[in-house]
Amino acid sequence: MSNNVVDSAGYAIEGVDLWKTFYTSSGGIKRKRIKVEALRGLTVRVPKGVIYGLLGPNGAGKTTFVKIITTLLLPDKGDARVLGYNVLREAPTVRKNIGVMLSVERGFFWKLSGYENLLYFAMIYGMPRREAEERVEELLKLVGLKELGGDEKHFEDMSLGMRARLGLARALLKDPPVLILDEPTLGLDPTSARRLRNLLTDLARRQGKTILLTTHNMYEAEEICDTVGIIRKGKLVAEGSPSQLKRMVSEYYSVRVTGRGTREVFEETGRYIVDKYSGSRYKVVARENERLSLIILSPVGSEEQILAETVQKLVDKGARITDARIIEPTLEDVFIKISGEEP
Amino acid sequence: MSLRLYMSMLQAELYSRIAWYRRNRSLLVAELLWPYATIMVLLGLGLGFGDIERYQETMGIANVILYLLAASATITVSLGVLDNAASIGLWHRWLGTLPYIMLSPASLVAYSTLAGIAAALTTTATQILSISPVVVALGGLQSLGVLLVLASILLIGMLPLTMLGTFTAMTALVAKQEGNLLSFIVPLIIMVSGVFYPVEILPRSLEVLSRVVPLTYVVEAAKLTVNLSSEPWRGLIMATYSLSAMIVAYNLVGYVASRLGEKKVRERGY
Ligand SMILES: Nc1ncnc2c1ncn2[C@@H]1O[C@H](COP(=O)(O)OP(=O)(O)OP(=O)(O)O)[C@@H](O)[C@H]1O
Ligand SMILES: [Mg+2]
Repeated sequence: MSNNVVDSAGYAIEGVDLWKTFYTSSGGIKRKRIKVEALRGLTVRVPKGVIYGLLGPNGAGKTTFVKIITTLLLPDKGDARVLGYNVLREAPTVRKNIGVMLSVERGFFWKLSGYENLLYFAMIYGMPRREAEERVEELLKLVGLKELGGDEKHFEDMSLGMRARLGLARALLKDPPVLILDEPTLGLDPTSARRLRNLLTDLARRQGKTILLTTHNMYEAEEICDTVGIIRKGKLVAEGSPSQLKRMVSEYYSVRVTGRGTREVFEETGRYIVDKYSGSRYKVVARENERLSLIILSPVGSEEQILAETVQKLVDKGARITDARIIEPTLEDVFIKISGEEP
Repeated sequence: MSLRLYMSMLQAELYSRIAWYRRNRSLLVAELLWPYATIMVLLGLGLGFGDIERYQETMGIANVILYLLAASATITVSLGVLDNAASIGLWHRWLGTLPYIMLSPASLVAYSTLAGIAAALTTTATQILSISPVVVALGGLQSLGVLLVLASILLIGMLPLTMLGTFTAMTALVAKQEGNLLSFIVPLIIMVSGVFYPVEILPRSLEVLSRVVPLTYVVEAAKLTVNLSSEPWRGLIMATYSLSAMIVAYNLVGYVASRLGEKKVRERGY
């Protein structure tokens, strides 16, 4: 058993060349067999202590991957490990080391309270009653459910935000080193979503937990994920830190300086910059309140210099600057570009 | 240690069932009234179409009321266990709790079996509780012993049914249908078990079938117990033997089939 732990040291989660095909049927009398290739050779590796965000369009295979690494679904082909333990051959050990949250709005007994629900699952996971009671109390406080009365409220009466917290509390029952969360902030209001994200970053930074999450929220991925993987049609198509990914899709950043002055001054400055920095382009556009914007497409790497110089030039020529900024592509741009491309 | 895990899971199931009773009081009351409802219907119909002595004689029982109470309790427990087993997988799938159950270090088969045992324990408790006032009123304090024996027989009798139930639960999950494919088993079992009429009046083929249905022996044992006949032990021991054999046989077959079922569930997605 120890030999297969060694070769994956450093990775908390490892899925290598995973394949999974589903067969379903449709139609009433004349049934048609439908084949869905959910995963087509997906490889994802998550180093320990990292928050990894899995992005991808609907039906890309994110949940399928999550189910495989959580031992809930068997792959047709490929190898998956958590902390070096094989999800097929060492499933019980894998399960002891992961905390899982699959859907925010379901997954609990409707007529039991938050406390009762958590206690039930703690015992299902083999925790002795005494220990379970203490742990549940502790977790209800940690996720902030206690103060909302979520310990006594029945699950059916809870808001989505409370349900998400309860789901996270269940994932943390065994205090596992690895958390696997499928769209944990789906449907939450901005405040609840932020609270949940703060909790997650705390768990990763302070307690060194590894977190794999899937999301459709680009802002979220950008804000809390150290690494982002984009999957499309069951394959990983891009991976890197949010800023790496942004640089990958775009060779240009735009620099935009807005202010009051004559169009002449703005045009002159634009020509000056374009002459000086090869590969750059400019455009002057009119804004509301008789202001003008000079937009310069800057090759990656020169954007800061261009910004400083443009402002300087405009001020020298008597323009009054009201706003100046570098506009990076967003992760959303990355996502749309990558997931829209043909493989 | 997995025995500790199993004990803890059993405790979880009992905990959730008791909480469920607390939140669904009307259902608890209905369960408690069940034996009396049955008895009223049966006696009503029975008195309309025949006389009690005749029935007593055919069934070989001393006290009709006592017997019918015990019989309805028996039926309710077996219904409870089978129904629970058949629906537990579907129920968890609807609730969305199934994956979190599957995340326990124990197998799904182990879980369903333990849930079945918990169901047997709680329904036996409610049914014994339900009939005890009348049993004691009719039979005096010494009939508490009868109740105890009855409770044990019910529990032992439910063990072969548990695995059958687990198998049913797996079939329901594997088939990915929104209902239980094997639900016909319940009325069949009750029909051939001889609860309300002697097995001997059944056609020969059904009588043979009744011999491999565990409920038949539970009913027989229940009959012996509530009859308070002087020599119940020989019969009880015979019934226990038959039940034990069935526990082994049913559980072996059920276990193998259920393991295959569990693998299928994990292959196809729950
Ligand atoms: N149990 C199943 N049976 C049949 N098909 C399935 C099953 N589970 C998933 N699929 C199919 O596999 C494909 C991938 O699904 P998956 O749920 O992994 O996508 P996803 O990336 O999580 O999508 P979303 O962003 O919408 O959650 C989809 O086409 C889906 O319909
Ligand atoms: Mg999904």
